[in-house]
Amino acid sequence: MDCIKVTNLTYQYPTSQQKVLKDISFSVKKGELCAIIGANGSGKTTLCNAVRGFIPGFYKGEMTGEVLVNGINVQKEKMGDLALHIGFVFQNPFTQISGIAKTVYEELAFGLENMGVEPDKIHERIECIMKLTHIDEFRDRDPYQLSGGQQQRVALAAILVMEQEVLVIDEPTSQLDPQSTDDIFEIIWQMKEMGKTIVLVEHKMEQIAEYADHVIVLEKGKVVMDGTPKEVFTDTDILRYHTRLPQCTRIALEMMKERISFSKIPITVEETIRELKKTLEI
Amino acid sequence: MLNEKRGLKADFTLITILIIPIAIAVNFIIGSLVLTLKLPLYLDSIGTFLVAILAGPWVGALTGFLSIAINSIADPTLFPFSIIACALGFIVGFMARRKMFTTIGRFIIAGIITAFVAMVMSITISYIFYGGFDTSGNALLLGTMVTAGIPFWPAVVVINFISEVPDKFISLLVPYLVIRGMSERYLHKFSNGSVFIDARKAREEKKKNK
Amino acid sequence: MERKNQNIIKRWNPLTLLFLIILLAVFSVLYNYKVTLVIVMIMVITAMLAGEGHNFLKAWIKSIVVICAICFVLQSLFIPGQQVLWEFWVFQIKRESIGRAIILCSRILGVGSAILLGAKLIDMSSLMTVLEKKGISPSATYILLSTSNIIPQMSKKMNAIMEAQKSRGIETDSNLIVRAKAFFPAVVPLLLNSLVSAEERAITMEARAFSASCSKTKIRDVEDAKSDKIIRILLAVILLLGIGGKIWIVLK
Repeated sequence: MDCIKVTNLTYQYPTSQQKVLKDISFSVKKGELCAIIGANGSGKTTLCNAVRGFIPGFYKGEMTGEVLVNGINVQKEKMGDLALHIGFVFQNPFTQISGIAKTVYEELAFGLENMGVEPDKIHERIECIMKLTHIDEFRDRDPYQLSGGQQQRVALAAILVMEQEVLVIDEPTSQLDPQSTDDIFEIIWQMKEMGKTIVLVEHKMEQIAEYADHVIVLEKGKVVMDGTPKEVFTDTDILRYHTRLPQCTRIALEMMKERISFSKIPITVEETIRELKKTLEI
Repeated sequence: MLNEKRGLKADFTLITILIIPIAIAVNFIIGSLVLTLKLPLYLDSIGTFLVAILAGPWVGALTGFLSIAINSIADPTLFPFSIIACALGFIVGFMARRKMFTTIGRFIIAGIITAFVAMVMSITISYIFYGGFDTSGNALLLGTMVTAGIPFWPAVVVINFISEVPDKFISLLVPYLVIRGMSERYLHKFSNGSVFIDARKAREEKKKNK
Repeated sequence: MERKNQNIIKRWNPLTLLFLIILLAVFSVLYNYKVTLVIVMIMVITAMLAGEGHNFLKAWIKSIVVICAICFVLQSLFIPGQQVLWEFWVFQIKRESIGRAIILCSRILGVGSAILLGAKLIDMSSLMTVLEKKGISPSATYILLSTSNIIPQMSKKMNAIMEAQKSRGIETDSNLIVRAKAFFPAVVPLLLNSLVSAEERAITMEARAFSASCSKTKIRDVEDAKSDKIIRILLAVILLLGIGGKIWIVLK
């Protein structure tokens, strides 16, 4: 079943001369982790905003086409009510704080209070999410006083605790150090295990190759590639779109230039080891 | 068209609600920065004027009032002056809506009006509540002048002219410049944004026609 | 559960405390300095009972007392009058000016101490929870709560900017032009940053269902005991009696 269905989406910011998204169509199945990649300025963030319904409601401008999430027409639904269906996390950890919570615990409760969840249930859900995201240790700290990585984990937890089925996550790790990046990814993989449908914008191709079910490549506002990580990363067309390849794939491609042959192009570390063993044994 | 709905309720969108606390904090911090730098001004209403110009008179009035009201926790003698901040926020927001901040010429007129209102109100409030001698540095200066034999009213007017006019001009100039440099995409989010966008478009067209 | 451990004053509902503060402030404005002195005594005792005595007194001396002293000196020196009580150098202290100084300082003392006491005793977020339950819009309480949280946050940011300016060699004790020049590079990024962060904050609030149309709940439950309601009614009655008494005195 298609959980997210985008058809002929075209969008232009109120003041810009050019269209940021041009005739975009794709669909994401329920429970799928869909990664959106592409060069800077290719429209990834705008696409996330469209899927979450911030476009055109919040940013104004002209939009044509349709975005359906779980059968709901996102642009026709009230922007505030979409929060009950779609979780949204973005880059900047410092602005993803409600600004009125004194502790991390209250920060997590904020979304649930707004949803009108009963207090008993709120406590239960927060406890559960805090364990899952490993933020239990700073439950009583002021969210402002946390490091960027910790804040981003809190931001992610504050959305996860709301238990929406669909998550839109826009470059959650671009401002974080490697350790925090790993922590964030671990949480995202767990969410996938739990059956959430996830749209993820990311630059870390290794992780995408390993975990995504579905990769969409954007270039100048158009979908230029759409397929499994294997299909996308092993297609040499991808090099035209200013995206990085997973390191393993790059190494393999370099080795192929040196006439070391691979039976198939690997995209993950495991595959590379397997392929290399095969190649070297012969 | 966009953002055409205006009025008390339409002015308070989510983003303006979020920007009011930030503007109050900006007032507070620039106020303390001015003290650290020992500049001979107050400049404690830059945040208020910025949101007033962007989001209109009601938001400006609320921001101005809250800003000084919060400061009066530390210095209760400031509280009566929150009426002035409230009125100035309103007037600046109102003038912005009437396109008074779209060109330099109009900006200067708006600055003169703001400074004049600030001066008159400041003298009035200070006289009603404190007989002219409040706890600001001005009071000491006034006292010195009066003791030296200068009549009360001329002294009050001169002092308030010196302290209010440059202060209000700079306090308006900073937001004016910031808004000039602001992207249209961002301006669109505020109820007065279309005023500035239309002015820019008109200016560009004029250039083309020449 | 945590409320049980709290002392007699802090156990009160924040709204009750707010009533008390307003009552004390109004009384000190309406009546003369003797009443104000009694009221200030009541405030100090209240602060002590709440376990904030030390905190309150420290802040009180640093702000209210200093301001009153300045006010008293300025008023008694410069407010015009006829009857000279004391004279030295170019200054004259007159009976009328002393009178005005006492009235003014009494009011500042009363209202200022009341506000300060309120700031020490009332927990903002509890008060906002109560107000929201009484029907005040969440947007209004958000503005107040967020403001009280954001100021220390932004001060820190400003300090960081100032440190950076200093390390670039701009001294706060150099001449006026240099100091004025330091002002703009510190302020413009602050304004632009705060505008951008407001936009992202709006997205955050939308994502957290702030503007969802469903009814909201609160995990914090602020106790509003029967005793609170009774105290509030009592305070309101005293307030009305006080205002009535003042009117009676004036009319007589």
